[in-house]
Amino acid sequence: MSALAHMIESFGVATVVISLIRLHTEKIRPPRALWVPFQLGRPLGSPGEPAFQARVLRAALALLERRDGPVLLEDFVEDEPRAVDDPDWNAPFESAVTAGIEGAALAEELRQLRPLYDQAVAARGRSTVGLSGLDLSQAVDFLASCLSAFPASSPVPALTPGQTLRFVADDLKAAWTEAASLNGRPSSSQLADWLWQRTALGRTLLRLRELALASDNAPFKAVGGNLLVPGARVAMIEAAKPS
Amino acid sequence: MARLSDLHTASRARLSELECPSYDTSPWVQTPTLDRSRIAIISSAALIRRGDPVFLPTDTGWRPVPHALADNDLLVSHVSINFDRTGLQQDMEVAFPRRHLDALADAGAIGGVASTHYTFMGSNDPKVLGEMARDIAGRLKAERIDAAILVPV
Repeated sequence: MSALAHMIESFGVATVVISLIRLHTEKIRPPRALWVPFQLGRPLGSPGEPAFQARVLRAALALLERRDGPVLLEDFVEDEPRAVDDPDWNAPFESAVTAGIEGAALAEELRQLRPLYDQAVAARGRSTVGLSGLDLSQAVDFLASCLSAFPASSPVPALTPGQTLRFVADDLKAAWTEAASLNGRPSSSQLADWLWQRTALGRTLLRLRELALASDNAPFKAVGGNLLVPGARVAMIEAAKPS
Repeated sequence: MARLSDLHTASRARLSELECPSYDTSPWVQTPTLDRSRIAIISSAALIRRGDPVFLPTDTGWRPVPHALADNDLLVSHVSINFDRTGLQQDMEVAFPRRHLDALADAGAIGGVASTHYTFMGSNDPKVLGEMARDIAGRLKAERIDAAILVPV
């Protein structure tokens, strides 16, 4: 973003960047930047914290009033409110499916989760589910089918099987998270631990990653190996294995 | 947290060693006072309108996002799964602060909000950004936007 800011300013429009990686901003030196100490993906801080988000935004925009650039790089020193776990949060959906990765386990988990997901959509007036073009039941079926054999064709004409797998995974993770975060103020790590340690969806995605890495099918290997499980979660799992 | 020291080893190494461009110039455009400045958002989240084609890994383009587009019609199609998505899944304002800009405009703190914002996939090589910068800057000037806030994920 810092490079793009430099270029846009060169074309005559003032810019201010919110910086998540201070090192990159120090090197590129865009005209104005506010570094924030939040995790990647949350440039304005925590969800559901509008007053805090507004403070971040005002701090960034305030750099546009300065007359002492270039180059301006300021720090926003407050941490986001939900950087720490909420001790009162419990996953409102506690899967009864405690083992198994077969399609039936995933379908049963969706059945349990669905009312809460619908509540979450109604409460927020929105959902981020929809990238794959499949509804949740179809997405679960597609994901489960990949456990036995990576499909040669996609149920979505515009997408390859690999692209479908990737966006199905995104959609299902979004649905599970949107449901689980409906109540309370969970941190991102609480939500991730729940998803990857306590749900059939998490187990399925981890198993698919293993299958993909062992597969000779290049698209499956590429998508399944890299685009299902975040690198940080893979690192945590690897670190927990006995040496 | 995005302090490099807080990231896991592979991400820390990748981001620490990422080649960054350097420039001989230091451009600077002075804006009017903030209360007279109209603001647009540029997001690297690869946002799409629901039903539109997703950004694919080879996509180096940009897309307009209407300010009035409903939150439910906005999806995040960025290729990377290595940034937190749980924030955006709960609250789009954490990375696309349209409502906050509206509130600032209503309060008279800024002069106005763009009718169109812009998005692209932020994993692009900076070398391919020149054309995008020229095109977006042209659109911003045509809409008489005074400043853009660039919001990464």
